[in-house]
Amino acid sequence: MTVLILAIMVICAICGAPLFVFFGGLALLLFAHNGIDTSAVIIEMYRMASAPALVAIPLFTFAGYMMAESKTPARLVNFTRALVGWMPGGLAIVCLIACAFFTAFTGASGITIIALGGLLYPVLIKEKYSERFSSGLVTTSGSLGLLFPPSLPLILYGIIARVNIDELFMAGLIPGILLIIALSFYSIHSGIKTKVERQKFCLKEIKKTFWEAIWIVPLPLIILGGIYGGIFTASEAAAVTVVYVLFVELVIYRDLKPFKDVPKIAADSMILVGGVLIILGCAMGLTNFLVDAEVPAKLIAFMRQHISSKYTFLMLLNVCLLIVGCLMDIFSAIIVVVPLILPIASEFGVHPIHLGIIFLTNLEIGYSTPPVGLNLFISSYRLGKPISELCRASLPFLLIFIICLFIITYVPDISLGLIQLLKGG
Amino acid sequence: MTKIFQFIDCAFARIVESILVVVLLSTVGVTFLQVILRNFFNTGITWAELGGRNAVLWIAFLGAMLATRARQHLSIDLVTKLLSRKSRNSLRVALDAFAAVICLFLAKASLTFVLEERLMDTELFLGVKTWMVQSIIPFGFSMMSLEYFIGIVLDILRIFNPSISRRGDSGGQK
Repeated sequence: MTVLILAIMVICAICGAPLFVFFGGLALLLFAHNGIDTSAVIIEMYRMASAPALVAIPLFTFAGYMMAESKTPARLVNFTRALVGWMPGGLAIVCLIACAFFTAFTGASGITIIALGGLLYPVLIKEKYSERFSSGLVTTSGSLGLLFPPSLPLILYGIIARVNIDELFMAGLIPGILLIIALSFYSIHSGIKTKVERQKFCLKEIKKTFWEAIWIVPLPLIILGGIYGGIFTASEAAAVTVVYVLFVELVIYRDLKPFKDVPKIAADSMILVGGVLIILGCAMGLTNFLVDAEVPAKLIAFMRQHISSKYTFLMLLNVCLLIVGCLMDIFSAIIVVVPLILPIASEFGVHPIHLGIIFLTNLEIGYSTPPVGLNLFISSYRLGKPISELCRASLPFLLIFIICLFIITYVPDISLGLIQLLKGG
Repeated sequence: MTKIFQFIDCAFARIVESILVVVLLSTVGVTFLQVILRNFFNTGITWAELGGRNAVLWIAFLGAMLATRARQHLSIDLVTKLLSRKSRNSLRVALDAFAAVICLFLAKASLTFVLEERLMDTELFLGVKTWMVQSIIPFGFSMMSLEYFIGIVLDILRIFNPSISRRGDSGGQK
């Protein structure tokens, strides 16, 4: 009987049933099968209310959505354009930086492509970037910035893996910058090859756009400065960000109307947050069950028999995660896969923070890969292009991503160096 | 008949949204106040952190209720994208039924949990009892179950009359 129900559940999940229903149902089934009262599933779920950093997720997402709905994307683009627009491939670099900034705040939900893709794509075409390059750039940039604080997946990983979120924020910085630099070089190369038009370097323009964006540009510094200066914790930083963004958007720029826009944005952003957190809640019972059943220990034993070196393990990890990233959304993947992989990784001597960065970089690639890459669908909707065309256009970008992934995987210091430096000094 | 149904449906969604906004903004307010009090006045609110953590539980369930109404839950949507319109509609009946039943079981399990917690009668903060905060769990799951049951009815009606709009087509995002 249990096997039959299990089969039905798996089929439903593959056919597109909500994942929280699948995880919740699976937990109920496994608990009942082992003679444990099903209310124990809810006890696990309520542990959600004991995770201290969780409050950061709704608050940062709310702040990010408010910025995305205002004229902030345009301001940020104007400023970065004045700054690097004179370089060959400058506009493409603008796209990379602006997308990274927004993804970090909106939790890589695809809203970056909605807010920025439509804004940047026509300009890219106008400046004579090739159609393929432009659509590939916009599509893959939609998840760039995942490694920068305070991105939702980063916080979620910190909570699940029980690692210090402050350190995780630090660890993502250099790998994130590495990705942007690598993609920038490719953009410069393409810019030279297709002989795109360049803007003139104009100090006056930089000054003008800087003053227009002055309230938004320092926001990451305020967050990081506050956290590392010991003024507030990561979750308090989220509340400070919301108050700051509310003040900037309602009082200074007046892009948003307090009674018309804010409640609507709050509800819209909480649809995403609610969707992620309910999966977290439902999966808590499940992962706890798997740990009690010593599944990770059995996996370790199995791996030990077949794999001896850390490097083979990392290689296998990358392959597995790339497949997971192709099939699952990033949030569910973190919630379900991390508790299983974490003990195995530590057995092979992989630092949990390094694992987090590897994990997120892999899943960042999964955003733009068929068959279920979220970026592909959103950008196909936003740019009105068929998915198959976008897949081909994304290929060179994904190749660069994969090269960076290997560097990040096999050189742990890129992720851990900054933390050690700060701890030591 | 359908008008009354739509009115109740919309009104209920507005109420959920309003509570969500209030909970969200209060969490922001209390947490921000805590930062100000600690850094400038060397004092603090003892229940701020605890309150914030429990507010997340409410945000999670209220948000999930809205996500259910807008059919915006995360799922593996590969198969539905490949199917034709007609077979997709039939598949939806099965998926909504599956979700409705599981949510009902989750609601039942959480009701047992909250009733047990109520017997212990522990206070969380400021006179708020733990079970009161937790009661959002059975409430949320029951409402989601109801929403999926409504979905089944609409799905079936739609097979015979394709002009009926699907749940989530009107509400929700782009």
